Amino acid sequence: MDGASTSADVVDVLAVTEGAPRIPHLYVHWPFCARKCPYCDFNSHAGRDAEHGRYAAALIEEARRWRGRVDARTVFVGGGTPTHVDAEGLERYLGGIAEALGFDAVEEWTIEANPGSLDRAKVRALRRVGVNRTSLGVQSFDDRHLKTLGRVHEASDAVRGIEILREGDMPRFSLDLILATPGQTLADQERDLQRAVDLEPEHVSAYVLTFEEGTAFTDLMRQGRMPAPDPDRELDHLHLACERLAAAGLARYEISNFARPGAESRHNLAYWRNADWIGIGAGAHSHVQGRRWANVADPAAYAGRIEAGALPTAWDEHVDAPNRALEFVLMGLRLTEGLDLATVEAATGIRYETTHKEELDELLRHGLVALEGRRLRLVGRGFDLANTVIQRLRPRTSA
Amino acid sequence: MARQSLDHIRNFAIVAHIDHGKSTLADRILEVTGLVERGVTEAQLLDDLDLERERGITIKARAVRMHYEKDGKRYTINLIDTPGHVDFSYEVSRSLAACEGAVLLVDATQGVEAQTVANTYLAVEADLEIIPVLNKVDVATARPDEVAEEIETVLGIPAEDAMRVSAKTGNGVKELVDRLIDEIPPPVGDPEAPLKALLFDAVYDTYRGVVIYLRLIDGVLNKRDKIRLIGTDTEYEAVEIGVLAPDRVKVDSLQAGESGYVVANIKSLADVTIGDTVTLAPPPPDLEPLPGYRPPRPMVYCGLYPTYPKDFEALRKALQTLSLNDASFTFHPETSEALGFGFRCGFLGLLHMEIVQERLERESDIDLVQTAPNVTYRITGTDGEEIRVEKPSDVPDTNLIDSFLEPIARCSIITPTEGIGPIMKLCTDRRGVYVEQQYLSPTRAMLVWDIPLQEIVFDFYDRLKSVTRGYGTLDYDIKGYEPSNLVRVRILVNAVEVDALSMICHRDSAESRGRTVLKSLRKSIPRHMFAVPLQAAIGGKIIARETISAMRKDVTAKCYGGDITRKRKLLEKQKKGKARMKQVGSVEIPQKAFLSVLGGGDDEKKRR
Repeated sequence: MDGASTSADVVDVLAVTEGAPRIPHLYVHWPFCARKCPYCDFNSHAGRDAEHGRYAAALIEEARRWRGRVDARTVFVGGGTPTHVDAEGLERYLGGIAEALGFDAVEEWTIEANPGSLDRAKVRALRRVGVNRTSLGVQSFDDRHLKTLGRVHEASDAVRGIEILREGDMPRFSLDLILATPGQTLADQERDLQRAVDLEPEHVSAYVLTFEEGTAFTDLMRQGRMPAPDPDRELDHLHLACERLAAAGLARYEISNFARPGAESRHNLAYWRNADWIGIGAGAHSHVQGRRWANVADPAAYAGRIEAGALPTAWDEHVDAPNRALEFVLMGLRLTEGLDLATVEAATGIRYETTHKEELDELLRHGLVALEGRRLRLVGRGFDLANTVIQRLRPRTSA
Repeated sequence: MARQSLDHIRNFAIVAHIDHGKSTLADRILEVTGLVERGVTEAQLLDDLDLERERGITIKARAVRMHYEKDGKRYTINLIDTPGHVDFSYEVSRSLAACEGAVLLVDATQGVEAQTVANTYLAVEADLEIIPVLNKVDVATARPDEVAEEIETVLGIPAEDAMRVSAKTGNGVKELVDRLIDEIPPPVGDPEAPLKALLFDAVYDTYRGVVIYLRLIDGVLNKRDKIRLIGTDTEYEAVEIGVLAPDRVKVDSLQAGESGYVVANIKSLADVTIGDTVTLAPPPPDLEPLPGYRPPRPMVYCGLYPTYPKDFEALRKALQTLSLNDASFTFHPETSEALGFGFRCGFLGLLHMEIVQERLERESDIDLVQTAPNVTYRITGTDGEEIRVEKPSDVPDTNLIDSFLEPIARCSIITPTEGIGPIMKLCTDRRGVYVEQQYLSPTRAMLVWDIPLQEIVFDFYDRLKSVTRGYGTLDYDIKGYEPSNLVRVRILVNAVEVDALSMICHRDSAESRGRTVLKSLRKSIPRHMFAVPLQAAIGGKIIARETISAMRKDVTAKCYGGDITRKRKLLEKQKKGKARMKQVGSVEIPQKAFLSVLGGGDDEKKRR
C-alpha cells in the first residue's frame, strides 16, 4: 500500500532521541494469532499466517535501525500470540532481533504464549535464543469458562503447557488468569485459583474481564446477549484472588499482578515506573524521555514502510510536564510500592504536595492513599478505586 | 395637499389558537391582495424569527399593508399579526388596540380551544368587529356545523354565517377579504388634527437601531418630522418612515388610520415604552395621551448560570442583546453559592422561558445551567414590610413571616368530555379550586379552575396533554395573590445546603416533593469515593433523606506501555465532562441535577 509515505507531522524518532541514554527496555510485537478472542482489543490478526516471513524480516530490519541505541536489560515479546509461528520461524525472528541489537546485558526475556501453541521444539528454540521467562495465557482451568472466553485451548492444554516448559528448562513462568468471566461463580473462581496455585507459578496476572470498545463481547453485551459487568461481583472475584494468591506466597505488587518476592516482571515494572523503552513491530508504542510514539498498526503496512526505508511511526507526541506528571501517577500508583513524588518533581518540576494539597488531604482522609515521606501509594479501598484516585490527581490546566 | 378620507382603510388582526392556521391564512391574504406571489415566498411570511417558523408560533406582532380593489374602489388593508400563546397576550392586546376588526379563526377539525377563548375576549374588550371564520374545511375530519355552534355557545358570537375557508388551498379567502371590507368599520380619526399615534411595538435592528411601529390615530407624520414620545419625554427626528409590505417600504408620510414604522436613531429598547403616545414636537398643550398598556410583569423566574465561570460576561452580553428585542424579558445578576455568578431571569410564562433559552443557545455559544423555574411570591414580614420573592433563597426565616402569598391562575381548560374526570383529579392534586364547567357541545367541555401558578409552572401542561391524549388545551390568566401555607424546602448534599436546589411549596406536599427531589438527585449525582447523604429540610427539621452509597469499584484491570496515552486521553476527556459539573463542598453535582426540583425524572424531556 502506501508503506513508504510518512506524514509530515511525525518527527524522525531516531533523530530526536539521539543523545538520550541507551534504552534499557525493548518490546517486540508479534501481531498474529490462531484465532481472535472475543474480548481482545489488542492489535492481533487471525488468518494472516502467510505474512509471517515478511513481517519477521521487517522486525529484524527495524531492530537493526536501533543498533547501538538500545542496551536491553529486559525484553518482552507480546502479541497476538508470539509463539503462533513454527519453531524455525520463531527462532529466526527472535534470534535475528537478538543478533541485530546484541542482547549481552539481557537479564529478563519474556515471551507470551498460549498453552495450545507450545511444543517441545518451540521451547527448545526459545531457550536457544535466550528467552528465560514465559507468560502463559491460561485464563481458566475450567473448560466451560474457556469456551465462554472463546479460547482455542482446553484446561488440559494449560497443564501440559507448563509441563513442556518445565521439561524444556524454562527458568521462569507466569500464568494469566481472567477473573469474573460471565457465568463464573465465586466457587468456580476459587477452584481456578487453587488449580493455579497448585502449579506453583512464581508469578500470576489476574485480570477482571474488561469489556473493551470494538470487541465481540462488548457488542454482545450491548445487544443484551451477555450480562453487563457487575462491579460488585467483579470486586468479589478480585478480592478472592488477592486473598488466595497471597496465602500461596504470591504478593500483590500491582493492581492485577502477583509474585513471589523477587519474581516480579522487571519489564512491566519499567512501564509502571515510567522508564524509557523502545517498541518494535506493528502498532508498538515507545517512550523515551517524555516523547511517546507508536508504529502503524497494520502488519502489512508496517512491513511496507520498513521495506521502503521509511519510518514506521504512525504518530508521535512530546508530552508536556503536567501530563508527564500524570503519567507517573497513572502508572506508578498501580504498584503496591507506589511512586516517589520526588522523582515526579525531578522529571517535571511539579510538586504534587503543593499543586494537589487539597486532593491529597481528601484522599488521605478517606483512607485511599498513604503518604510516607514523599512516597505516595494506594492503601485499602484505594486499590479498588484507583481510577477515582488518579482522577483527583490529574494536572491542573485550564479547561 | 388634499388628504384622503379614512373610509378606504381597514385595520384588522387574526385571533386564533396556536396551530389553527393563522400564519397560513395571513400568507393567503397577502397573495389574494397581490402583495406577494403564490409559491415564491418562504412559508409564513410574517414569522421573522427562525424560531417562529420552526415552532409554528408567532412571538412578535407584525403589521403588513396591502392594497385591494373592490367594486372599483381601492382600499388599504393593514393586517396586524398577533401571537397566539397565552404568554404573549400582552402583545395581542396591544396589536388589537391598533385595529377595528378581528378575524376569529377556528380550526374546523379541532373546534374552539382555550386560547381561542382568551384571545376572543381580548378582541371583545378592545371593542372590535369580530368575523368568525372556520378553517381547514377541506379536511375530511372537519365538522364545521358543530364548531360554529361551539363558537356561539362558548363565545356568544353569532356564527351561522361564519366564513368557511381553507387557508391551505386558498379556498374562500377572497370572499373573506371582501367581507372584511364590508364589515370592518374604517378607522375614525382626524387627519387635520395634531399627530397622535400609538406606539404598539418596537424591534431592535442591528443596523438601524430601534425601529418603532406606530398606529396613527389623528394627524399626519412626514419624513424628517421631529417626534415626541410623551411617556418617556424624549424627542427624535423621524429619519425614515414607511410601511411593511411585508418588507419595509419607505414612504414620505403616514396619516391617521394608517400603521407604519419609524426609524429615529433611538439607541435602545429601554428608551421606548410600548403603548406610549407619539406626537410632533413641540407637543400641542392640550393633547390627551392615549390610554397606555399595563407593562407586562414577569411571572416566572429561573436562574441562568454559565457552566464555565469565564463565560459570565459573554452571557451578560447575550442577555442584553436578547432583551433589546424582548422588552418583557428581565434579568439581573445574582450569586449562588453552588453555581457562582449568574443571572436571575424573569419571563412571562413557561413558553416564553423556553423560547428565550432556545434563542440564547442558538444565538450565542454558551453552555448554561438552568435552575428550576419558580413564580413570584409576596411575603409580609412580622415587621409589616412586604417583599417580593423571586427565588427560594430570598425567603426569610419562618418566624419572620406573617403571611406568604402566591399567584393564582384562573385556568380555562377545554377538553373532550372523557378527559373531564382525569383533569378534575389533576387540578385537585395541584391544589386547584373548582370554579365552573360548561359543555361546548355534547362531546367537549370547558373547565374553569383556580390553580396556584407554581403548580402550573411544574409539569401541569404535559400532564394535561397526557390525560387528554393531546386534545386538552389550557389558557390562564393571573387572578391575583392569595395567602397559602407555603414553606421553603432546603436541600442539603453531604450536609452542605445547595441554595440553587431550594424550593417553595405547600407544607402539605413538602415531604413528598422533598423526597421526589432527593430520589432524582440520587439518580443524577454519580457515586463518590464516600457515601453522600442527601437531605430535605424545612428550617432545621429534616423531612426526607436518601443516601448515595460510596463507589465500590473503579479500577482498570490492564495498563501497560501501550495503554498509557489512551488512558491519559481518557482522563482528559473525563476532566472535560467533570468541568460541566458543579463542585459543592466535596461533591460534584452534574448540571442536570439542578432541574431535579422539577421532579419525576421528566427533567430531560422538559429541556427539549
